[in-house]
Amino acid sequence: MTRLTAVLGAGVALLFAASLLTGPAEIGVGDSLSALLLGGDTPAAMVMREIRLPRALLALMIGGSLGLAGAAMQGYLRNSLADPGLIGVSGSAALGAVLSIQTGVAGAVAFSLPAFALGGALIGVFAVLALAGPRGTSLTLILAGIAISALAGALTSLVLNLSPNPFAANEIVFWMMGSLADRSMVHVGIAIPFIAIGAFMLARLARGLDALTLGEDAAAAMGISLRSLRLTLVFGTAAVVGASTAVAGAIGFVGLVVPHILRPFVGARPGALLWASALGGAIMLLAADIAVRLILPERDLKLGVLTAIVGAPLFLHLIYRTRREGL
Amino acid sequence: MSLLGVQDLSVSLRGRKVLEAISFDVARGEMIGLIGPNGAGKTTLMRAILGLIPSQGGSSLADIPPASRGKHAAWMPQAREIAWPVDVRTLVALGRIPHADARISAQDRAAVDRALTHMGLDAFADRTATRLSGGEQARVLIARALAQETPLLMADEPVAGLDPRHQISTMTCFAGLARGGASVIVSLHDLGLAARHCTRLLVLDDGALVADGAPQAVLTPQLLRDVFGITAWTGVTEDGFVLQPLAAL
Amino acid sequence: MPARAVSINLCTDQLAMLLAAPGQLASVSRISLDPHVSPMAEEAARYHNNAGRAEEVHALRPDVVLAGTYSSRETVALLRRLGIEVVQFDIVDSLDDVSAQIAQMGAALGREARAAQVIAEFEAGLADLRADLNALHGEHPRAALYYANGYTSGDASLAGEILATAGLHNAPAEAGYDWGILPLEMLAMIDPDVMITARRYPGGSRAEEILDHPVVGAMRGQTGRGALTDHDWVCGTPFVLRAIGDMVAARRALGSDG
Repeated sequence: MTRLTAVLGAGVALLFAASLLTGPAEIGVGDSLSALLLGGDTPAAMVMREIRLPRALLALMIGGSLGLAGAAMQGYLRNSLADPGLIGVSGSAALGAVLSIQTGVAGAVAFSLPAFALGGALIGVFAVLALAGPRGTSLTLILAGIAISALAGALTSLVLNLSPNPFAANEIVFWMMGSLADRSMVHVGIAIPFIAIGAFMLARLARGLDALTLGEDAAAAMGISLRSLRLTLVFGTAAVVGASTAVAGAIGFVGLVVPHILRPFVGARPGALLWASALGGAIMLLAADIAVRLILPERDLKLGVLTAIVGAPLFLHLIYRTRREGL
Repeated sequence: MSLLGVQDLSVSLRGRKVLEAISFDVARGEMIGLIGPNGAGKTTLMRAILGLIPSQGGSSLADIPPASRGKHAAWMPQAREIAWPVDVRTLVALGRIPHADARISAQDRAAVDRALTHMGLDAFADRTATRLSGGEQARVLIARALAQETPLLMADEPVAGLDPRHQISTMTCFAGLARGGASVIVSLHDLGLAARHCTRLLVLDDGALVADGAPQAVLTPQLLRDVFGITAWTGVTEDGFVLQPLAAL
Repeated sequence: MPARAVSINLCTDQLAMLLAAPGQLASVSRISLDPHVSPMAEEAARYHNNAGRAEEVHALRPDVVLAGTYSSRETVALLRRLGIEVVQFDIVDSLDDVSAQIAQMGAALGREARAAQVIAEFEAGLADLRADLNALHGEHPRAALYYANGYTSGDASLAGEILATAGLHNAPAEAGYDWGILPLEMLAMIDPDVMITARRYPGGSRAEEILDHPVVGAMRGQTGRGALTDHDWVCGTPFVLRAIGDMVAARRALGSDG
């Protein structure tokens, strides 16, 4: 397990560095690093510190959040199809974020943007658990996700179309597919507290999720408080997904792909999968964000496009397998 | 020394009394069979004792704070869930969760090894638990309960679906635990197994405790007729008390 | 001379309002009510306002409809099928085009004399500005136009010509970024002397969020570096003279800081 952590950690570090060195401004490696570390007033320093650094940090934080949240939800629901994007949590978070921006609260009250997104995500998670809790089948889960995603997406589009701002109507693509373009340290600042708290909460679920392997009854008898577990999951996921979506839009499939790939490497233990998925998610999103800048640098290719190209086929495969096993 | 005290335990579900004022004590070294017809309330009783469902009356186990209960009693539910394709050793090690803080200690590893050996699973330790047969999985889950090393072990129909050899060896294993000082409560439908391996039988009928005593004393033709609606052949052989159900009434 | 004219395009609205005879212009588009893009927003409120849809326009019984080449193809085709004459005006890319379009509008409305008058005033104003500029010595500052979504205008556009006439270099164009998206990193590397952005709309939008980025803020915040475009820049009307005048003033402010 520690070897896995080392490998994943190295991957994160490598891709983080690569992300810092990717961009249209052709600054050499040496110049980039000195501009980043030493600062100064030069344009290169501005690019490194205000444009590239926040982008790389956000890819790391958000990717980690989505991987962690996906692993946590899968562990709790005991279903490998759970992913914050697929089951409508990201969509609900986006609705919250858009509401805070369009009502003007985001500009007036500090941290209201991620807070509203967290509120939206909370409603989303509660709705999913109510509709398709741990006793629900895969089918119920996916149907719940479709319903919540559809409703959240439609309401988001409605709010944007009612905006007095003519640009807002076209924004729906950003909210539904996600992008890290032109983010600043301000975005890092508003996301960090929520992501940190949420990640801390989700990390504490390890023991309980391991126990849940035996089912709810056995876990409860071993002293795991199911109620506490559920609440920690709900709030942790909402915090982490809410803040991520508030800043970068809804990015799907990370929470599906990463736990699935890493599960064999941690012996299928849900507790160990939490940390591995956080690192794996950071790797996936850093890689995707580097790719969007290399593939179509002039256009703002959305992150969700790449994660979906990787994730949707896997999702279809998982559904096929689920169907074959008769669940 | 009493391992478990149950005092006037009652459970109501949706306004209906499912369990009515159950009282009994469990001392060390008892192998208790909980028997009764379908719907008598066996599972409900065990879950109420464990504090998993709300109840009126007292259960000494339910009075212990939830976080420490796992050190006093191990519970094997009827639904044999294994949610993830973990290997056998990992699954058995889950039994150490009530004891473990963060890291797996040498003590924990030793307990797991003992449990694996006890259930004859040494060769299976690295196999994926979800790929085993139903009977093998049942044994793995028993091993998990054994690894928990609690003074009390409660199991809900642990031998259902096992072949005769494994049914017998499981009951023998539990009986062995009891002889070693722990106590075991198993619910089961097979009256023959109950008769042979248990030191004490609790008979539930329609939510009430109708008999409590040694198998020979409890399994009278009258009780078999009134509670189970069957006739059976009973006899004391050189291998012990034997019961074989014959006909439905 | 057509008795009733209806305009369904922002730029044709402006020119029509400038040139039409009293009572000739029956309706202008709703877009002209928006002061962000229309220099004659107040005027436009005094006319009937249309949403540019064929049925609505047809009901106004126009003799001629004034539209842009990028007006909805379906709408224009439908109007023509209904037997209404539609005159389409191209996008203005240069100051020469401004005069040409005023003439084109004059022809469409049968108000050639009035058009000639407006052209004469425009060209005189332009000449005055150019004379002013010749008196202004010193470096030609480097300017960057930066709008929502990171868009910039190239040299071969009205905005580009406004800059050029005011004696400002279009820095992104010189760096190879013509009309289209200018990456934020490149804006930082180009480090222009003057940052020209647009007025913000109410409500929020992610498209405009880029204008809040610290990099943009840093450039705009420095003295003399920030300027705003507004309704005078959008269409090829005589109002571009005001835009050029604003740029000259910005250039002066820059120069006075050494």
